[in-house]
Amino acid sequence: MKMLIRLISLYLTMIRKLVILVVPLFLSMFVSIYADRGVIPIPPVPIREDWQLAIIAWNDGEEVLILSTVLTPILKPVSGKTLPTTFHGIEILPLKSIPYVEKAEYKYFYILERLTYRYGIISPEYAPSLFGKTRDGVEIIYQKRIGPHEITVLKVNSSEDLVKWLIEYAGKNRLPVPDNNSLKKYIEIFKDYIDRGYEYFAIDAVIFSFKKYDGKPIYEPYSIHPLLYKFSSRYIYYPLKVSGLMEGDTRIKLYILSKDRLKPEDINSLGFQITFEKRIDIEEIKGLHEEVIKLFKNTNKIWLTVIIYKGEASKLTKDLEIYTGFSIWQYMSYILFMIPIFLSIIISIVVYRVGR
Amino acid sequence: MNRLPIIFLLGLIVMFELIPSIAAAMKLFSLSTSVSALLSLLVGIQIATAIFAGSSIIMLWKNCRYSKLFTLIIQYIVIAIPLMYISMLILGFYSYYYRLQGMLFLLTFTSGVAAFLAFINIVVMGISLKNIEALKN
Repeated sequence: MKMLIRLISLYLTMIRKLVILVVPLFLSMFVSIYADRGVIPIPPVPIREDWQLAIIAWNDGEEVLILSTVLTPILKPVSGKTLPTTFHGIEILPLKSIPYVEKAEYKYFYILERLTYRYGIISPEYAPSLFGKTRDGVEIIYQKRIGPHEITVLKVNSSEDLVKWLIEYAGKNRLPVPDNNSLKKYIEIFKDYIDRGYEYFAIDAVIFSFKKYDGKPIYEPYSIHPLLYKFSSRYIYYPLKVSGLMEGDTRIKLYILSKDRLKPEDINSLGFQITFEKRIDIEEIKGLHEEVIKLFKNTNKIWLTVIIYKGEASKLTKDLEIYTGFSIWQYMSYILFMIPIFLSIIISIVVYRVGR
Repeated sequence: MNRLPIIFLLGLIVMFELIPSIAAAMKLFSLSTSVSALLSLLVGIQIATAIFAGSSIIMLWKNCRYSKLFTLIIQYIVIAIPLMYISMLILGFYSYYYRLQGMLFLLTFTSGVAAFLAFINIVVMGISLKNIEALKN
């Protein structure tokens, strides 16, 4: 009897040890760190980005981009220092032409999300701004206040000068001046954009703060109010390489409106997945911003495509540059569906004739 | 050899493979223009298997040559289909297509039933066919 009790207790101890070992391992499978987009945190505290939502409307060389992000700072002290109570971020959007910037609404995302559901598929604060003198490689095109945002559009020839301008910008706006060394990695990324013709940069400033729950500081998710950018582009453009500035995972959901169907090879090669694609009536998007409606004024039917990216931000090494028009890949699912059916009919006929 | 139980089971396999896969294909292509290539290939393979099973019935009924060998190969393909669906579900290929997950589970279940019937058919055929030589006739 004693032997049996000892065996049972040994067995229970083993199970307990196994649970202690396996459960954290299992839970760690679901823990991920998020970060994304062109945000320079000051001081350099890692930022997690829960979602990056955008509506892209493109027609005949004109693009309207409505962009919103949900950011959450990660509780991770940098080099043993204590966590700051507030910190700031400078958001950067590289573009090829001078953008027109305007305030947008969250409801536009709901309108398009509702549309995708109807067809039943599948599936702050603001830091004040006072602008300083212009550097040689940086020219201020215009500044505009939109609600809590103070947008500055710059024309940039030199990435070093852009970084110097950002340091000055932070200083003038009573933001903590970012460390020079931490900005070195940005010089390379900005240089690549400038070399590829993206010489216009839309700059915005954001501020994060935290609250204490049970004595522990918890940074709250911070949703950046959507902004509308209108600019010229030969193709559907969405900056992604600037996301490579951050670490960890990111989630991006883009609602793309276009006159013609998108070429899927441009989307799939970047790791995006098309979750919805349908030709819709222009009347169905009448609740959207007038700049979007104006873009399709002579069109009755447009394509609504929803694409999603889930993965590491560091893997976003290229910008999203999508062309519209015919592509064999648009019909790949139909072809793959029909191939086994045709083959089965042919094989069945051959086997029947041979065996008869 | 009594072919009737084999033909009866093949008939059930056709029913369990063809009806859900045609319903799934109709729903799949009517909802959106963009359909997962892998999913459409799998549904296509399922319909193809149903066609093969139908051909086996005709060949067994008419007592054609190689009919039993052909039937045996088809049974193994039928067993492989639910395994493919389960692999896809485990690997999370359809996490984005959350609205299609109900349909996917239906396809996995019905093809699983068909695979079970195919397994019974293999056992029945194994009992009927005492040796491999019989497969040649």
